[in-house]
Amino acid sequence: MGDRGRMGFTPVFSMLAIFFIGCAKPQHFRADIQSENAGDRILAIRKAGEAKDRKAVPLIVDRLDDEDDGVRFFAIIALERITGTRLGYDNSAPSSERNAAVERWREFVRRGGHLSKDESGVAVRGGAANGVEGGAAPH
Amino acid sequence: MRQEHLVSLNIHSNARSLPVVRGAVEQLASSEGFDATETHGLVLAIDEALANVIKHGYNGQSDQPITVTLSVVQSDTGRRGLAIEVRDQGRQVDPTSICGRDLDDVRPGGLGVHIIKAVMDEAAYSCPSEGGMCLRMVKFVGEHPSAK
Repeated sequence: MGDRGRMGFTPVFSMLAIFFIGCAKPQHFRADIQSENAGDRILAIRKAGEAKDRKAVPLIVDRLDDEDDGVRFFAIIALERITGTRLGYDNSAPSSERNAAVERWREFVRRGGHLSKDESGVAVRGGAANGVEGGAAPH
Repeated sequence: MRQEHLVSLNIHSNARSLPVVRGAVEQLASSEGFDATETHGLVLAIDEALANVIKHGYNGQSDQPITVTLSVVQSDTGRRGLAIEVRDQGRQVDPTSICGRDLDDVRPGGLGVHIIKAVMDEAAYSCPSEGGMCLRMVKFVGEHPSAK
């Protein structure tokens, strides 16, 4: 009985340990995506892109119309890295063109296109780099 | 030469800002067709340029402004490349006096200008009337002219 108890405890303990380790790894850089300092915003956006942090996508989308050209530049690179698409956004395009692309990104987020299939219940159709058709599949 | 603006990076004169510029240069160099060796050279050149601004232009002050502007250029003969402009508000010096020390003078440091001129196809300093210094560097995709 003692042996059965130990065998049952180990996998449960391992699963709990993995769960709590996962929870104990907060993405500290997310807060800095909205920092007042443009350099800090860029560094945080780069980290989110490198980590392919899908939960940071809404924050990064908000930076697509940042006043700082460099922030906008790194924001779209990070979004492309995470989602596989630019939705036609060009950081150095005139603001009218950028605004249209930003609206496509906001719609992408509203539809949960940035979330994984398990998180959103919809399939993400990525890979259309620079295209405008890489959004979430219809519900 | 035609030029198309890509991005302007407003950074401070400290080492913490360097990864931002390196990342942008690497990203754009790759998307413009530079190979890994050329991209490494571009990163080396911008590192040296910024190190010179921090050390000589701002005497090591870490909170001074530097603007790095990256553009795609196309020469009159159709060669594509990347133009990098480094603009600061630091001490002005006569552009003709900016040259690396004698290469026979073997000691650490002081080779930034040599490295920049070896890596880039064009590199020119100027003194804008608004103050500070401006370094404009251009590298075209493909073999460096001096390598032929």
